[in-house]
Amino acid sequence: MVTVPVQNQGVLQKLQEVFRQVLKNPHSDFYRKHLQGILHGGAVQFHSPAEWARVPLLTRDDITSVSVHKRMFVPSDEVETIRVSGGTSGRHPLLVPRKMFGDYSALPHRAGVRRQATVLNGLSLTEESRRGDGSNYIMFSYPAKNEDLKNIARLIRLFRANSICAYPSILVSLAPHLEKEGIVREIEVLEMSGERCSPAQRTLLLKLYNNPVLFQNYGLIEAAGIFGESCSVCLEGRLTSFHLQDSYFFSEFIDPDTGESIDLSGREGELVITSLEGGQPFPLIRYRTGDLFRLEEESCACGMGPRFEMTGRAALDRVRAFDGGFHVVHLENAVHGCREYITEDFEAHCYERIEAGNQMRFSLELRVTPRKENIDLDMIAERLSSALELGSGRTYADAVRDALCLPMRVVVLKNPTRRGYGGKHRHLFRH
Amino acid sequence: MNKKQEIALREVVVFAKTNVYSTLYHALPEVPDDTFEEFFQKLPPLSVKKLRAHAGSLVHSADTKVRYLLSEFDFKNMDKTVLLAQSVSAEWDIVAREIKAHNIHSALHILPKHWQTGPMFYRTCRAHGVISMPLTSANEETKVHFVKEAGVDMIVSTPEEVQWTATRLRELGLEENIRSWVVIAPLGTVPDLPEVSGDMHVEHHVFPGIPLGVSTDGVNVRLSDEYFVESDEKGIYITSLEKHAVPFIRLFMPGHAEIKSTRQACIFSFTLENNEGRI
Repeated sequence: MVTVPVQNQGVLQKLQEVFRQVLKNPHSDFYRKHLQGILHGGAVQFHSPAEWARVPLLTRDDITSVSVHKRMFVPSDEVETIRVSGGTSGRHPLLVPRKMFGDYSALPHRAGVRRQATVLNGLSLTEESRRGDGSNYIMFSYPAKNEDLKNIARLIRLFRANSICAYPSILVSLAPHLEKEGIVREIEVLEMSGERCSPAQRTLLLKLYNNPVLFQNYGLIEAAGIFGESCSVCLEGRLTSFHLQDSYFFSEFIDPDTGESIDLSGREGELVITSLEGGQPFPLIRYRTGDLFRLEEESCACGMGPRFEMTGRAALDRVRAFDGGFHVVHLENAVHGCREYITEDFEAHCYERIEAGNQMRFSLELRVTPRKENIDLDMIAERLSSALELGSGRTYADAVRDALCLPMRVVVLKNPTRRGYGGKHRHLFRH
Repeated sequence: MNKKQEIALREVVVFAKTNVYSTLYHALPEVPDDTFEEFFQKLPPLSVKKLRAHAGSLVHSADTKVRYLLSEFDFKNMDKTVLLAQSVSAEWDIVAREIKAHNIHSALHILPKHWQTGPMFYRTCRAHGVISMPLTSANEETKVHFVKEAGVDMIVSTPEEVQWTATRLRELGLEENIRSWVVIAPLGTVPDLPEVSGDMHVEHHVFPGIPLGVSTDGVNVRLSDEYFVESDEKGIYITSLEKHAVPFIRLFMPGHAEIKSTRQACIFSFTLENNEGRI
């Protein structure tokens, strides 16, 4: 499997053009500064893997350090929209100038989407990118409260949707409400977006929705669109894996701890992408997506080459499960509130399991570092549960009372897991 | 009703009565060759309850040519909502006018997502070369970040969001960056508007995404050229003057209305009686 672009002549030529455009660009000197350490005569050499490896990786922090207008590579009237990525719970929002690329109508059409309800965070512009296939769409916000799901289910019935696009966790939570509306069996296609679908979620979705066509779309706000695509093998097999479309981005994988390029055979790696098309308001060069992948199939029977499964986030910072989920900052705040008993050194391990009656139950195990011997862990669990804020404004304790999740378990942290993304201590783990 | 309105109303009634996509108005009487005004005033009023009760589609065109809108402003009222529709090619007139009037560079949209106004906003901005920034009502500090970082000079929002945003921007010395404020308010409500340095227009929507008119004071509404309005002691009756995706023929809104017609435009004020009466 190709891990560096220099082994592919077609990709190499496209990259040379992209690099030429960004380094000579009259509108922004972002990359002239970012790449200055490796410039030779105003150009970057990358004709060998070693030279490519010297091209510095681009992180979200690198981008947010520069204001959005100073990193627009096209005149402002060619920028269609500015979207925001992140910006919740104290994280600095990243503004991304974008121009729609590609026509993303073919895959939903192949999957059988005719009328789709999207239930996603942010404002979906799927209408603009998808109407070419003659289907119809309606949009709702990602609900902060579980009770919003009842209304959404009703609207999905009114709209006569045959497909829903949402986070996998929302699709799971929505199913009982659709059942009450008498339409869960009418939903033929589930498009999963915004987070990876775990094996447990996949099993449950296939049961709850009566074996729907499943597909996972993959994209990033920073990348201005979707470029992960399911094939016929994925659709027929109800697989959540997909191909990384190679017209717009070169995809490579790195070790998230060391940043070294790796081959995905037998291991996980972080996806790094580089734009292959000029003309984007902000082209990406070796951008660390923060998403972890594994290789599911080296050479898919569909002929589209390797097929991948997204396994998680390199720096998992939020969980979207019920009642708006929670961010790692909420966990840190809750732990900080118990600082007389425990230190800031903790790990939160999240589990999902399918229980009797096809119920998905979320459980949280907090591994803490006590400040003294023999502290009352049950008391700590109760305090943390009452202090952990969810996206809906309620607390974890409220959600336990409503049987949306299992009671929090607190144990002593032993053998901390390896340091993760960029060497930072990792707090949140999803199993 | 002037001659031009009569011609347009006649066409809409015929369009609705003979429509191949929807039977909503098929029971209307035949349109007479003369005495149209008398005929029109006797047409039975339409209500949201009747729309909800209609068994078939309300959409008067091919399904793929429309986007669907919801009839309720408040997401809590979804048990009462009806699916309405607008043409996918619809341009947002007030947004387009303000873009041209103020030479707008980038426009921020902060409206509830279930109002479905994002695609029309995006399309209108694109048509005029304006950078569109769609947000929903969350992320208060992100709105400020957009204004600071992205050079926003127009905001389209609800009265409540405008209150908060204008105050916050003033605290940061950024309020003057906004040359145009477009406030979206449900028809029949009088929004509480802040003092701002830029221009402010209130667009009154009969349903989310379906504007009926514009005011600058939140009270006296200049009726859109796309609608005809009558009133009596019970309320107002709204009729489409164009072949809308879901045309209204004497859609009734209970409340107190005062219509002042001028040669140039129809100006009216309207206070909704209560939401239960509307829905």
